[in-house]
Amino acid sequence: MAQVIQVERDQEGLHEALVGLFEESYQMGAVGSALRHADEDTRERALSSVEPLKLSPGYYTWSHYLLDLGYSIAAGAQYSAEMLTRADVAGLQTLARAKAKFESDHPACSSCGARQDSKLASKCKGCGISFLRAGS
Amino acid sequence: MGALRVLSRSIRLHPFAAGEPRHPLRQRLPCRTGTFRLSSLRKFQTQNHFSEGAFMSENTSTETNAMLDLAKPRAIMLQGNSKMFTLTCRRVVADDWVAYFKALEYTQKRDGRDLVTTQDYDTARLQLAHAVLVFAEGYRLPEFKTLDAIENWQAKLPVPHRLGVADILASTRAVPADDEDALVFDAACVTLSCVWSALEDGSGMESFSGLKHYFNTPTEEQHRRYAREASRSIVLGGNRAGTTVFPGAQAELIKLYDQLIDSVEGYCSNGLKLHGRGMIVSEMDAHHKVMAAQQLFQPQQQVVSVEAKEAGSIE
Repeated sequence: MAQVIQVERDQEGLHEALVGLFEESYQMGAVGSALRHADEDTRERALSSVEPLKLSPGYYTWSHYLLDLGYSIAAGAQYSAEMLTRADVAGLQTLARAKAKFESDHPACSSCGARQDSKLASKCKGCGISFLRAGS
Repeated sequence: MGALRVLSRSIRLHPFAAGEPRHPLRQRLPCRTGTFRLSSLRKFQTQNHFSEGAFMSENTSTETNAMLDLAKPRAIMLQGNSKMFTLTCRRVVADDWVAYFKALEYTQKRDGRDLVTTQDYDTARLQLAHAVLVFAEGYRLPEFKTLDAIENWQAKLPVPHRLGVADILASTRAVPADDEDALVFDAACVTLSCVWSALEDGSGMESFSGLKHYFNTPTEEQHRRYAREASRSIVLGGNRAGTTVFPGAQAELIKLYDQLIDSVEGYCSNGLKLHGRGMIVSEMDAHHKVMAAQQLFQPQQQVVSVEAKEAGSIE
């Protein structure tokens, strides 16, 4: 019998989906800005090198819903407890975890704010400033 | 059997008609070779069951100034090459529509970078037609037998005839708002059109446009409820290779319609003009409710699928 997953309840799957969306957005942005003046074919090829989303589409649909809810709350929309379901709240917690993981994997430069490809980067890809490491 | 024409198609139908579940956040629905395509099926049926390709005719309905009587039984006329068929349906009640919406199937599966979309609306349409058909004329019956004496006669009608009936039952469409509607203060107006039933004189089908639904402005909570329902899904067979099944938000749209509707124009029931929320909620056809409410919450869905465009069924 086929496994049946109710997407809104699969927090681990949603965490992976949300991290995947953040990564995709980051990589697309990086490719787009690096190849701003490249021809169409080169851009197409570069964009196709971005890692594809891996989970079943329903995970991304619910992830988009959570992102929209999260942005609405960040923008100041007030939601009473009756308006939110348990799946909403659990999803928002997963969103916060996924965002924290993405921010840890791609720390922002303290000087210019540009996100780095890796937390081990030695200098900023935006402004070129060198990062000091503990013990260095 | 010759080419079949449904004498009602003044408006063009497309596979995403009738409040079928749609991907809530992506308006363009990818469709790849190898997936089930409704348009292809229609062509297939047309080629196999009929000698000519003209399955649907256009501009064969007549628009009148009369109000749409929701309580009237619906007679649907189909025309073969030389023969006319009339199929009569009882009133399609809310439960029929809820069962129809539940039976619509819309799934997506990942295939590398692509999404494979599968949709089956015909099963739901055949079920709907089977449930509401009460009489059929124009068919040759076995000697000394009446239609009533034939067990499960609805299932014995040709599939394209049953699909043709369901297409008419679900022919409601949103039409672009006119400038006047934009001036309605603190409310939203959605205009629908549909083909309803045969004209009294049997000369064709009667179509209605300018069916207006005036809504109170939805709250954020109501928008949230719609977005939540439209984003829900289950996955069958594992979270990576599994198939996502979108159940659709039509049941929620019916509830939202009932909460938000203020007044309507162009409708009556047993000759009585619909007035007051109570009467509208109890008498309005649930398919009209879904189509109107969907426009209220996702007006940008004027954009239709690539597939519908391919089929050439959208202007």
